[in-house]
Amino acid sequence: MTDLLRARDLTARFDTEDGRVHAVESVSFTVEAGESFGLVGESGSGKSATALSIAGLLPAAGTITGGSLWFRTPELAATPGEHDVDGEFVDLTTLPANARRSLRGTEIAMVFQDPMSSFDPSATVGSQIAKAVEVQQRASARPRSTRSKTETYGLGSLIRDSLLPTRSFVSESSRERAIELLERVGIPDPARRAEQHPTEFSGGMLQRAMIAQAIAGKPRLLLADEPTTALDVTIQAQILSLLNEIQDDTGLSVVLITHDLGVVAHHSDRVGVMYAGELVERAPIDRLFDAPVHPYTQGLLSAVPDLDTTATPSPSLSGRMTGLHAHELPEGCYFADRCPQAMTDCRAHPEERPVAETDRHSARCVLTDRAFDPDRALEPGAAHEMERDHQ
Amino acid sequence: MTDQPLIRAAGLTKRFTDGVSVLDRLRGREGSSITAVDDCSLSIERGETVGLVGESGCGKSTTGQLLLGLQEPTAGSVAFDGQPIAAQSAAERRRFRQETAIVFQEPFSSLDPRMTVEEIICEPLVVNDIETESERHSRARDLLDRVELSAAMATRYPHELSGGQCQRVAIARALALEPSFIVLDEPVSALDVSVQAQILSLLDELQAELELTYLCITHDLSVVSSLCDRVAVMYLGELIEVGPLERVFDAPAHPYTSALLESVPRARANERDRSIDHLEGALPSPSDPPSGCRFHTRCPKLIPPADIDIDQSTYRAIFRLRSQIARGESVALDEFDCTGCSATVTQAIEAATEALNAGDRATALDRLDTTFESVCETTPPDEHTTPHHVSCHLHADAHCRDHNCE
Ligand SMILES: Nc1ncnc2c1ncn2[C@@H]1O[C@H](COP(=O)(O)OP(=O)(O)OP(=O)(O)O)[C@@H](O)[C@H]1O
Ligand code: SF4
Ligand code: SF4
Ligand SMILES: [Mg+2]
Repeated sequence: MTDLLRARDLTARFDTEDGRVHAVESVSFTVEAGESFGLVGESGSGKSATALSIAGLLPAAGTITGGSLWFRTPELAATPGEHDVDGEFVDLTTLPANARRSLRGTEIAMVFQDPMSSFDPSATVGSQIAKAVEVQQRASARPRSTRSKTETYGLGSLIRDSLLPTRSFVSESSRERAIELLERVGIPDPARRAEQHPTEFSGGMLQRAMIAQAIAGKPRLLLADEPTTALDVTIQAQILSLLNEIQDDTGLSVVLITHDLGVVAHHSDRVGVMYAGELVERAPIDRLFDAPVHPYTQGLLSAVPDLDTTATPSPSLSGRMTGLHAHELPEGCYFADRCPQAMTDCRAHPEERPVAETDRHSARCVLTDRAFDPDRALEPGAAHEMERDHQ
Repeated sequence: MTDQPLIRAAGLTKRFTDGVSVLDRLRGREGSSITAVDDCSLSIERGETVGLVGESGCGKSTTGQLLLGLQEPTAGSVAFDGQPIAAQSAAERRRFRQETAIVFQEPFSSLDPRMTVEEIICEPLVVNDIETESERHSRARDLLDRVELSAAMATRYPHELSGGQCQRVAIARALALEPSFIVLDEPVSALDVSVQAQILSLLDELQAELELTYLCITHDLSVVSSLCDRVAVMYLGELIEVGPLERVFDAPAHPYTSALLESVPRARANERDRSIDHLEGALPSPSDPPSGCRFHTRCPKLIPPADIDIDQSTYRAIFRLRSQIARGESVALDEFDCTGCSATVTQAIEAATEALNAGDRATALDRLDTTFESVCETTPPDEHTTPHHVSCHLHADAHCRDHNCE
């Protein structure tokens, strides 16, 4: 399988009044062409910040401060410019802002938990999807490889202009394509629906429309941030199966962000577990569920209530995640204060290491290469001082 | 104590009508009305936890509020400990208020941001003028201890607490008056799973220690499986299945319950291989619920008339076409694949196609309705008590089902 995206030591910070937030800390993972990669973790663990970094959509307070995002885009790799190139891969973090923008929609698209965030309430759904189609058509009308550097980067402003409401031109064929897309995502009576405003759509329908808008530009990577969290389970099942179908049809790769382990289990091929800004474990789905190595992953899995038994899940994770401000982060393992297997070894910050022989499974934990030794166990809370009150 | 159920709701109905002034009514205009809860009957025994589940907007929270007397039912009644709450005297009402409590979903917004944790917890005592200040102070410590928070938390403000801590404070406040019945309205939905597990186990322990009775309202079936003894499933304001947890989860009798259970993605390794037979369509609007069985627009087990021989997927496809024609949408009936259909089915489709091609939608629809209309569309199902409370024609007397009788 070819790789589409290789995140290497991706690091992102938010500047706030209280100091720098270490939202994404040296995160590495690979997304292969056509696969679904799940990102799970509790609230504030850095899932969204990771996705926004990839999409180039970090808010003003956020910056990528380190690492690289190698994205496979042969045309752009062959175009001269100041960006770093490695074979067919381009490091997104080295692209100028307008070039980043020109990849959005056409190569990398993002859908969110709240579909209203992607739609202008005052324009019809059809016209907004048609505009997304237009972006793709203009992009492919001028093949990148024949253009000079300035022309390549000028594409961004062209796209921006076309996204501005009212003034831009939307062709009849784009409108028709928009209706096809609405039909593709399972919206009944698409021609009539295209003429309606987003507010006239139900939550599930708007989520479908947002997916239609995201795939309009035929992107190769879809970043889906909690796309089903706001939906009822029966509608969630529809949306997940829609995503599956689209992936099968188009070979799209998906990064699926969710706090719901069931959703990743159902949809993803491989998973990354985030904790306090770090990717603490990464594995194919069956390995993660059957042989988790990181004690945080283990605790998370045992906390999930099992629908098929009536046992109360074990509240095996007490305490709360450390704050992510520089002064709040401990020196050693960020999970040590909650970890039932913390040892003196964990006072040094653990590296990410492969688990056993396979490089497809890795964890940022000393237990990758040694067993828990009760003689070296840390007293609960001794790893660093923190309030021990329940969350 | 009596052997009455602690809570008994009979025929509980709540209609909301919006935006009609007297003038409107004089002019004969009716506002849109939503029947949020429709003829629901439910009993809750002492010490029991009943889970009330269903999708958003189906009437779960309204039901909880009706049981607590926080809203007036349009019809039907609620009895607490055998006594109708509508007939309570002022003193009885006060006692009822103390005996019952509610915990909401949003841990943060349900707490007053200007009050300290201790003030929040003691508020019900102050309002009801119970105990002296120093007694309240020590009571607050006890309650914090009960919900496993340290005494140091007492002077904190809500914004200084995590979501889980806020929810513990809300539970402590609910316990302040030593109630016997607590409505938990999505008590863990806003929390991370690790915190959910902590709160669920706390609720479990409190129930055992304090002999509490819970109604747990949730859209999350896994919460039900870990906390509840019995489960009541709601769809568009109606209770469609009520029974013991194991029975309902292991062998759901109502097609909607089956679909709900099937839709939940399981957190386990082989989940990827399970294909979910997902429901079609969206939740209909409660202001205009479908006729007959309210679930018929999405039901994967829609019952065909006894006199036609048809498989479910063809029957559903025809049902979809009929709905589209009825809504005035464009359909390609001539593309309908009749291979393998019985003569009755083929004839009806051909006749309808002809009418539709001639531009006569009404005749086309009528032709299809005559042949294909389901008992599920025309007749609301009765409640059947085998295997437990279920409202679905599939569980009607077999003879009646075969003969499609009223
Ligand atoms: N705009 C911002 N300004 C400052 N800090 C931010 C901003 N957005 C996020 N953060 C912080 O960055 C960290 C990571 O947040 P992020 O939103 O990526 O978490 P998440 O895993 O997506 O959580 P959730 O499950 O709640 O969506 C958190 O500490 C968060 O408070
Ligand atoms: S490194 Fe140590 S403290 Fe951290 S998760 Fe692993 S065992 Fe626990
Ligand atoms: S009555 Fe008919 S439509 Fe309703 S649930 Fe039963 S089979 Fe389905
Ligand atoms: Mg997020």
